[in-house]
Amino acid sequence: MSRFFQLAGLFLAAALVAHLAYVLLLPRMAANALLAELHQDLGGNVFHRLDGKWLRRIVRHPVPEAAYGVCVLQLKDHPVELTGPDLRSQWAVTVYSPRGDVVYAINDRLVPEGDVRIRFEYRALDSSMGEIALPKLKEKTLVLPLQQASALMLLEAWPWHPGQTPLVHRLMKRLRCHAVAATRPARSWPNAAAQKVPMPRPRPKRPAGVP
Amino acid sequence: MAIPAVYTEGGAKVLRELLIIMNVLLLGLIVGLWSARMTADMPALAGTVQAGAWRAWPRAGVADALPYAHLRHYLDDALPPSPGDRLELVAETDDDGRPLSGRCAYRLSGAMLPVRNWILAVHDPERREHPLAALQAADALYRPDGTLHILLDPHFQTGNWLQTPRRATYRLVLHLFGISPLQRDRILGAGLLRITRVDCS
Repeated sequence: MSRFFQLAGLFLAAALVAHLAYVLLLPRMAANALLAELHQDLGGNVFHRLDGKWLRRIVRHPVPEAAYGVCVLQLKDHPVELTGPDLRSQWAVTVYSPRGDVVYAINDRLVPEGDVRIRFEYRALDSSMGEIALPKLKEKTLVLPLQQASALMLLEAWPWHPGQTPLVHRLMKRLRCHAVAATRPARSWPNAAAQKVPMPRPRPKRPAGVP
Repeated sequence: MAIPAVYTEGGAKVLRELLIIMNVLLLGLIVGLWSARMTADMPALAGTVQAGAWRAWPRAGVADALPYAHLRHYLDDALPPSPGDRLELVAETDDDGRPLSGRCAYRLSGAMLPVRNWILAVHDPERREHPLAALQAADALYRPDGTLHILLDPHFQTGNWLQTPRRATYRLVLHLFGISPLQRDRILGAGLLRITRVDCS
């Protein structure tokens, strides 16, 4: 009888391991593979309008008349900016982590009106400090800190009316995704905040009477 | 010359034992994988919310969602839709549970939810491409009481009409834009467009 229970235990353990591995690892592996494939095919930090194969692959139910674009963000060495003209439509930017979950989902109502200016910055989380970097609006640029050195950005723009479709597609062509110079020396968000920027020493005052 | 252990009685016993263990492990793996796939389709675990014929996955893509909710989308070989201020609702049957067929005409009726914009699209379930037909908020005709009547028919109809494929089954996708996070959780309880079969040829 104990032999039966041993085998049953072995069976259950194998089933549990397979079940958990499939559920937890498959989405992560699939997202990672997609990111790697996109990076190889389209390159990093380059904005590409999506159509054909990649549109079918990434978007399950494309919205009619909508324009789609992606940028594989490589943030390890430089922040990356998405810049371009006002899309004159409803639009949304979704940032997927290499694990496949959504890190940011923002839309046209969350940014200042006018040109599109979104900066993605890599801010490794300093676990000892336990601080989390938050999105900020600097002048007219929305700064989104990411704890991932690479991520996938998907931009979707829907015209208010089908008649505006050509305009939206034309404006989308002018969007750019490009690396920019880092504004802070340190990568870690809490450390960067703690670092003191060297200030020029004030010149000593001349004693009175000295020319 | 010594006889290899496997050819002796004890060796055969060990081999038989190993074979049994391997079979049990293999069976366990198969059952584990099968159960994972089955569980991903279970509404409660996959985060599926159903209202009439419409289904939605409002927590898809959210980091703290159950892992089955993620798995469901990757099994479909697609990224989870953005969980921002929009929602994607899918219907593959009418309100009586019969698959949407190109041989039949359907009426969608009811009040549209108070959202910034909406698009209703007819998709071929077998092909991942742009929709076969679509109706957008800006093009829809509303009744005086603010409700909508939309006809799904392969033949031309007046009013709000979406052309459906003549023979095949199809899928309806309703994209809602401009939903607040609070509204997202309650949206399906508020009642959506009812899908009623009108007649079949």
